[in-house]
Amino acid sequence: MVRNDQPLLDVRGLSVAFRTRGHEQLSAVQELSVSIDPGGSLALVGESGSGKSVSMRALLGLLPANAVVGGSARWSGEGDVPGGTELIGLAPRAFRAIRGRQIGMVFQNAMQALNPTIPLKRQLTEHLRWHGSCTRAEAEVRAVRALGDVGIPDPERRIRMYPFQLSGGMRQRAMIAMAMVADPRLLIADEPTTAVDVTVQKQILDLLIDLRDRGTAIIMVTHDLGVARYLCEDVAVLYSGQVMESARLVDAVEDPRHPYTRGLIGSALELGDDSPLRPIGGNPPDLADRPAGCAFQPRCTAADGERCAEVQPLVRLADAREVRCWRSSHE
Amino acid sequence: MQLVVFLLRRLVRLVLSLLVVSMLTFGLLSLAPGSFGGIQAAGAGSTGLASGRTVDLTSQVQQRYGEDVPVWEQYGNWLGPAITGDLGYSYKYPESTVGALIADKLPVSLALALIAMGLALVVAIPIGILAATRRNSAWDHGSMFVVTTATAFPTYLAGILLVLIFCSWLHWLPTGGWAGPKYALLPVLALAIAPAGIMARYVRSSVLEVLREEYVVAAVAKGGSWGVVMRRHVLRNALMPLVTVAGPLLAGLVVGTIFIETIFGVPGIGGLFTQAAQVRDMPLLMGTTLTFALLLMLMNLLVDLSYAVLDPRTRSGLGLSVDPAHRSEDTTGAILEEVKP
Repeated sequence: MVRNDQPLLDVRGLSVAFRTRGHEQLSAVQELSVSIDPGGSLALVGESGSGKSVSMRALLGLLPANAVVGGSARWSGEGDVPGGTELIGLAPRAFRAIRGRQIGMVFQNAMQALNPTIPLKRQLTEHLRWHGSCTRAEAEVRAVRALGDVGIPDPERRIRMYPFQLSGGMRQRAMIAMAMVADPRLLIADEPTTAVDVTVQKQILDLLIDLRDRGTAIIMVTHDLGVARYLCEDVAVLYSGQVMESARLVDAVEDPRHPYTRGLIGSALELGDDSPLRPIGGNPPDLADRPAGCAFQPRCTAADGERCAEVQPLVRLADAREVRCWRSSHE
Repeated sequence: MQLVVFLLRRLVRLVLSLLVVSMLTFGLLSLAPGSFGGIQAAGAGSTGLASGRTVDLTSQVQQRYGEDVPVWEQYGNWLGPAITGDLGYSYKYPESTVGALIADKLPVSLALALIAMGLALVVAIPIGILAATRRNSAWDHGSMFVVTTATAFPTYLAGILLVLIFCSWLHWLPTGGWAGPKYALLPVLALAIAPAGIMARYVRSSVLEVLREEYVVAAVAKGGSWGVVMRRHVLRNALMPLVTVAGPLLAGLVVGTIFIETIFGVPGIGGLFTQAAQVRDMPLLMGTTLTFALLLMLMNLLVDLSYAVLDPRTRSGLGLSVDPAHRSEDTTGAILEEVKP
C-alpha cells in the first residue's frame, strides 16, 4: 500500500536541455521540483516557452532524442515499490507499463493528437489491449462507457466514427476519454482547454473536476491562472524553465509573492471586473540568452539592479510556500 | 452520387485530353519529314528501279496510303473510324489491325511494368522506413546516397550496364529475347531502379513527417511499444500518400519500356512503338501513342480514387460510406476539391 505521507509523484531537480547542432545545450527546464499527492491537483502555470509542457513530457519520456533529462521523478502509483519507481531513465518496457496505464496524458489539440485515419473505437481500446488488462469485448464496453462518462451523447454510435466526424468539443472529450479509459491514477492535462472555445472550455473543466473528485490526481498545464484556479489546489508558476513561486493556488492568487505571479494575475481577463488589464511588458528570454541572475529581472517592475543580478534561490517561506525572489523574504 | 459526378467529370476530361493528344501527335508526325509511302518508295527505288520513276512511284504509294490529301483531311479520315474504336490496319503489318497488335503486345509491357513496380516497392519501403527511423545515422546517409544516385539513372543506361555486368562479364543471364522468367530479370531490374530510388526518398520524408505528428507522441504516451506505434500509427499514414507517386510512376514504367524493350528485345508495346516510328506507320504510331496517353490518364484517375478510398476524410466527401451504418455529418462536396490533381 502507498503510505499516506508519500506523494504520488515526487519530482526533484528535474532539468531538461536540448542538444542543438553547433551550439551548446539549450536549457529548457532547470531544477524543477514539484510533487502531487494521491487525488491531488496541481497547476503548472506560465507563458509559452516556460518549460511547463516540456517538463511534463520529460516525465513520461516523450521528448525527442536530442533531449537531455536530469534529476529525479519518483512515481509511487504502483503501490508495492518502496520509495517509488524512478521515471527518469526508466527502461522502455517498464515505462510502457506506466504510460497510459498509470499516468494518462491529455494533449492540447485533439485534432492533432488523435490519429485521423483510425476510428475512435480502436484509438480508445488499443492501449487497454496493449496493457493486457482485458479482452477485446471488455475493452469496447469500457470505451463506450468512458465516452458516455465524458458526456458524449450516443457513445455506441460515435465510437465508430473517425475524429474528423466529431465537433471540436467532442474530440477534446474523446481524447480525455481515451486517457481515462485505462483508469490512470494521475492525469497530466497539457493545456486541455486552450484549443477549444469558451463554452466547451467550461465543460472540459467540469469534466476534469469530476475526475478529480472521483480520486484521480491531476496535473494541469496551462497559461491561464483563471482556468487553473477553477480546478487545482496547488500551483507552480514557471518562468524560463524555473519555478518562480509554488504555493496553494488560493494563496498565490490572493497574495502573490513573486512579481511574475502578480503580473500573471494582473494580465488575466475576468468578466465583471472593470479594472484595466496590466500586461507584463516585454517577452520571455531566449533560452540561449538568459539574463544573469534572476531570469525575470528585465521585465520585472520591482527590479532592483544589484540584488536581482544575483542568482535567485527558491526560498521556502513560513507558510510552506516557495518563492524565487529576494524581496519575498524581506517584505 | 458525388462519386458518379466526379467520375463523369473526369471521363469527359479524359476524352478531351485524348482528342488533343491525337491532334498534336498527328500534326507533329505530319510536320516531320518523311512518310510511310515515301520510305517504301525510296526503298523500292534503291533496289534497282530507274531513278526517274521514283517520283512517280512515290506519289502512287502515297496515294495508296492516303497521304495525297491535306493533313487535316488525313486526320479526319483517321479520326472518324477511331472514334468508333477502329484504329485501322497497320501499314507495316497489313494483315493485322492496330487494335489487335496492341492487345497482343500490351500485356507483356504491363506485366513487366507491374513486376518492376512491385520490386521497386519491396525495396523502397523498407529502405525509406529505416532511413527515417535512423535519421542522420550512417545507414540514413549511405542509403540515401545510393538511392539518389539510382533516381538519377536513366533506364536505358541502367539496362546497358546490367547487360554489361550480367551478360558480358558474368555470363549469368541472356542478353535479350523473351522465353521465360530468366529473360525478364534484367528488364525488370533496369526498370525498377529509378522508381525504387524515387519512392525510397518519398517514404523517408513521409515517415519523418508522420513521426513528428502529435498523435504519434500520444500513442507512445498511451504505452505503445515502438513497433506497435510504428505499425499502427506511423506506417499507415505515411504510406498512404505513396499511392500518389506510385501510380504515375507505374504509368511511366509502361512508357519507359520503350527503351528497355528495344535493348532487351522484349516483344511489348514499346518495341511496337519503336518499329512503328522507324517506318512512319501512322495508324500504329497513333494507336500506341494514344495507348500510352490513356494509360497515364487512367493511372492518375486510379490514384485519385484509391487515395479517396484510403483516406476516410475524402472517402466521406465522395459520398462513399465511412461506416456502413453511419453517415458522416459533414459530407461536403468541397472535399472533392482535395482529390483533384
